[in-house]
Amino acid sequence: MQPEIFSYDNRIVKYFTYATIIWGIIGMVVGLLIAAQLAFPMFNFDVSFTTYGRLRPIHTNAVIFAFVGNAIFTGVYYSMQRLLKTRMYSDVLSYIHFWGWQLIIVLAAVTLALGFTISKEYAELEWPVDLLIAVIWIVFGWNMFGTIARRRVQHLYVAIWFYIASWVAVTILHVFNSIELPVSLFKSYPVYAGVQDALVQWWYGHNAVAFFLTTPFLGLMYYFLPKAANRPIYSYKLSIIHFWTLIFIYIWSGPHHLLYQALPDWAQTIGVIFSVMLIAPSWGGMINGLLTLRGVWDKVRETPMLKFMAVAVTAYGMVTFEGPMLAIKTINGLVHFTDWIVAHVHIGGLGWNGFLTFAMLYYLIPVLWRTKLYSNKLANIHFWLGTLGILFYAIPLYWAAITQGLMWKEFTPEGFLRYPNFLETVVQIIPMYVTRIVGGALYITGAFIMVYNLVKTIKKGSFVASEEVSALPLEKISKHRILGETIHGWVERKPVQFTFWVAVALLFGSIISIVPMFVVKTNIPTISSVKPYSPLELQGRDIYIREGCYTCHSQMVRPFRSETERYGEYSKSGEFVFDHPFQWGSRRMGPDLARAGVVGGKMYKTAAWHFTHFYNPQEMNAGSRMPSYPWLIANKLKIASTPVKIKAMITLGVPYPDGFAERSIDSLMTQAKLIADDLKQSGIEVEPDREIIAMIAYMHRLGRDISELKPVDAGAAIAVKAPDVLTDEASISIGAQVFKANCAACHGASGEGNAIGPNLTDNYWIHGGSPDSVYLTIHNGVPSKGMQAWKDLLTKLQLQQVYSFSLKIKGTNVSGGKAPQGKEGKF
Amino acid sequence: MNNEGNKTESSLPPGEEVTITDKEKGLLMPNEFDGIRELDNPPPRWLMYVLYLTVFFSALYWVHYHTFKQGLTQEEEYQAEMVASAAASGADTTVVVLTQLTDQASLDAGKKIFNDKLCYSCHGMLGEGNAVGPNLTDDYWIHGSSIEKVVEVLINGVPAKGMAPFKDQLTKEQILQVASYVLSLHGTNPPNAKAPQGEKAG
Repeated sequence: MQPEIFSYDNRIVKYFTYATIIWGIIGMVVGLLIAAQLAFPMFNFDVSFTTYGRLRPIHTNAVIFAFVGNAIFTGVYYSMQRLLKTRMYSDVLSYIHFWGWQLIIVLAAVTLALGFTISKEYAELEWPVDLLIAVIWIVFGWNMFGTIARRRVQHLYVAIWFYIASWVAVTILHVFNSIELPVSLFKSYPVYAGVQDALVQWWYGHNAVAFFLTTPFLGLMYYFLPKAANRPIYSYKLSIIHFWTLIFIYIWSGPHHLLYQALPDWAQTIGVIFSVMLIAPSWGGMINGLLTLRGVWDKVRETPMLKFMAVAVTAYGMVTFEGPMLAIKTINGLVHFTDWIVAHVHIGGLGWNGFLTFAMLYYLIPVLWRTKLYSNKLANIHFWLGTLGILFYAIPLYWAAITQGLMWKEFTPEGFLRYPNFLETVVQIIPMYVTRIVGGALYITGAFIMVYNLVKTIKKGSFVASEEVSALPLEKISKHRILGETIHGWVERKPVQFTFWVAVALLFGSIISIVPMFVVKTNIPTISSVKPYSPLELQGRDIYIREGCYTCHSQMVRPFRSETERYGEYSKSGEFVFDHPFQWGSRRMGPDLARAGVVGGKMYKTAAWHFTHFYNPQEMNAGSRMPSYPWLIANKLKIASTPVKIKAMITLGVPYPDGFAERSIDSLMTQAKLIADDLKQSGIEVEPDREIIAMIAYMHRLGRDISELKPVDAGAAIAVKAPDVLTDEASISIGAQVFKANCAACHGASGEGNAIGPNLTDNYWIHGGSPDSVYLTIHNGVPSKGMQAWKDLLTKLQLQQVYSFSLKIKGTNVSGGKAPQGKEGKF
Repeated sequence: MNNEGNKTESSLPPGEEVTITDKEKGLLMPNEFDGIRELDNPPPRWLMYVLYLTVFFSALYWVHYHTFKQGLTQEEEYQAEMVASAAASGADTTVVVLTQLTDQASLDAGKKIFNDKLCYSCHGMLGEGNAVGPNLTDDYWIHGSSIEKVVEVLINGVPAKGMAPFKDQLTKEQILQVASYVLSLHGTNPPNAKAPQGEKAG
């Protein structure tokens, strides 16, 4: 066979390289700015476009989809042509992909700054942009699979496996997480609500990390690391094992973002155990990378590119160990909603993605421009600035996280929260925020030095847009397995089959972990008092979403004493059934707002307070980090959009009464006037048609539905440890006195029962006859049946005494006792 | 694995060769990808043990919580935590005599609480009142001017008007201190005082 002459398209690689560098710098600078905002709120500039709530999504989208995204495409377009020995399938598709992606980025930046967002993290973009992403992503896939089809190499190299898995997974994730109902050109509601929306979103969010930030970069590592080190990959078998286990297990782990939240226990367990099982598959990549460097560590010392690569791979190992640890419920209960998560993702972002991208750029640009790097010394300086930057970034945040997490949970000996004022826990960590800015600044300084170094390198080199090469054509061999061929070796040369199995691996976990939440009713018990939002509240909610309030405020009280003491009743899954989208949040820069509308609750604030606070938060809470929102008072609410929004909600299944959409504007104005009147009584004159009125209405709605509920019936048997049973005569006789004074009225003088309360001396029990159940019933009462919660009226010792007495009379079957009620106790 | 006839030219620059030790030569896989070779080393054993161990742990975890239902559910954990805390911290049994404190130490303590609990955000730094809360320095009181009445407002709050209850945040003694501090502000006439609300104290 004669070798064929063909060429590689280096120009498309060059384009993506430039885009990576430019967007990388922009994304990082925005990151530095929002870090400064948290330490010094004046950097919000009192302008809506530049508040933290709008810039934070711009930062995350810019670094993930613009910086890392373009870096992926740079590496894929460069390595795939070479690994498959062919030019990209279509130059036209390549350039549509390139320009389409850059257009998406620009649209993203503009729309997010304007507040067009669906507020689902890393999927904030509104529906027209979502559609464009889908189109461009398909163009990329078409080009990629076309290239694979035209390859001159029989087998697909492990890097290509990762590219394929990434493409398939991102396609599935993007499509299913972005199903939304448009109400206008830049406003839509997700079809999912509450718990379902949260589950789908974090299935997406977690796997965006997996299949956008991780697997494509593993592919890049598998190409650039052995190329640069001139070493063979340590273990082909390890590649196979860690590839398949990684993609199979990763997809399940999303619920670990929702631990101790309003998600059924089984779903949380899936999140925990699949995260724990991810350790070895993730480490497989790190180990294969590091062991590939075995024998050439001297070279690592001398080559800046390899140094970046080694630290990147190590950071990957750290972050993929930390992730499963954070998925352990006990740890998660302490550090979720704190800066630990922020530090964690930045070890991944700055260390793994950033450093691997820098390594790739230091390798690629000299190769593409056929020259040597302008300055190794500058690259070394970049390396050290970057490494120090990561340390100065992450360590203060870990410290801040532990500090704040513990402060949230600390109680005084009297049983009060030590820091009931949330602000105290924020002010405490401001010094750490300042140090973090230093870390970020060091990292960016290093990146600027790299840009200078690369520009100098490009200037002295000569670029070849089309690189001519030759290779033998692909030999046709049997479709079937050849004698001696392993199954994996066979599948490796059959891309369609390979892609099919990847899709199976990804869909399996997705379906099992998500579908039950939609079809099994008991997963989300309904709460009858939960009603749809009023039109004004719905409009307020949309403003809450627009301003990105969820970037700093959660709406999810976890079932911890420290949270119910601070905020009120913990959140239940049935509360969120009308929430399109859910607003649980992921970080508490400010307090949780789930109970902000419970009158008499710990979080309740009057309309006048909210008004003053939105206008100038520092006036109400000196030291608050919250930006001012003066435009909420100036802006007129877009009232005309109300009927369309209500209709959309009805389409999504929210039970508004017939014809409500038509009446919605009247309803909105009536409620708005009430709030305006209320403000007037406090001396605040404001028109009822202002955005701030809708925001106040929404604040006052939060948690109000559930506050009308009765407390949980203590009869629902709970495994509680009762105190020791006292058997000494003195204690029993005091117990008897306590009983006579408090209990006899309903249970009879000897516990025989009467018209009100049941017999306590027989062997039949309504709320359980085990010692623990008896104690619990005394302790918490059964309010619905008139049984007091005696914990409020008796001392701990008295409780123990009367409990011991109750056990003493149990089974004595006093004559004249009331007829049995409840179940027979079995002893 | 059949890869004969599919050898491509190494794309390594001339003079650069893949570093392979003699020991590794026998482990080389037949395929070559743009000059990249792979070795047939087994995966490190310890890593495989980590995999097996985590799978085993996960199976146990599931069985423990969801098959045999031995572990507490999230709600049961919460109930247990509440019961334990109620048992640990008995009711506040201290007896505090309800009289206005006038000693400087108590007033200073009251002032500190006034600031720590952000009372100023609704009542002003000097108790002068603002759009949210009433003036505490004038002769007019909405809920009564006696020490008993002020303490009562502090204990139970006035939820409908946004005044938080402090019984879950302050001890009886602290409540008396801050109430006494508030009463000590009477007649101080701070600047920007809010117009009177409520009834004139007798």
